[in-house]
Amino acid sequence: MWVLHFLPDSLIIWFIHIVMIVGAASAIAGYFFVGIPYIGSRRALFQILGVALLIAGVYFKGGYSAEMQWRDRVAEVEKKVAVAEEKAKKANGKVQIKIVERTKIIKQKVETNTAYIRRNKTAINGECKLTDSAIGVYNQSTIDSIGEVKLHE
Amino acid sequence: MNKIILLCLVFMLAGCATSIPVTMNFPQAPEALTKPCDPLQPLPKDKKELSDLLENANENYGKHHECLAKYRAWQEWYDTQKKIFEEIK
Repeated sequence: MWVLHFLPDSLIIWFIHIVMIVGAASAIAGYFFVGIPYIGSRRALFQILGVALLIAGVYFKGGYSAEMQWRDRVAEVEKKVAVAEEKAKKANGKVQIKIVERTKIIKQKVETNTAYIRRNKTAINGECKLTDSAIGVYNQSTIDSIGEVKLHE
Repeated sequence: MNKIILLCLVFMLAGCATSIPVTMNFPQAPEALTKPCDPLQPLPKDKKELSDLLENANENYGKHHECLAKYRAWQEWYDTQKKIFEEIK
């Protein structure tokens, strides 16, 4: 009921109640207009109009209730979304801190190992020399030979 | 009479409305995870000693472990965000 979005709630509910009351009053009053001149001959019109207003009032009441239920539901979901977005931000912060710390530890380990290798260079090398083919094989394993795989759609 | 019909039509149209759905913004991934993994470095041709090989392998293992940490963090990020998203329903 998009029209209802532009009107204040109190005005809508007042309008609905007035329509229902006027409708019911008009429909019932029709029975008592029997002896009254001019109006008495048109009492059927009052009754029809009253019933029509009453039906319209009930229809609007139903529509208004449904609208209010939707608004409540939207407000509830909006609240949940706001909480979830806040949680998501916090979770991101935790992941960010974790990855930074882990990377730091890994880098420290690499540095420690490099320092050890450099300190014990002479002992490690001994008489050992790598051949070109050994370096070639080793380097082959460092290359990302797969690269980007193109998928046929 | 025409005015009454017009008014009725306006109110009948009110029944055609649809409510706007509430959506959650897609969560932004942490900056550290969006950086690509460093490529492994080959051993330069002039470095022919075993210590050079070890040093290079050590650095490459380090890069692999950094990439593995990123991969695990991505999994953790996904699981956490999925859990948060499902809480809304």
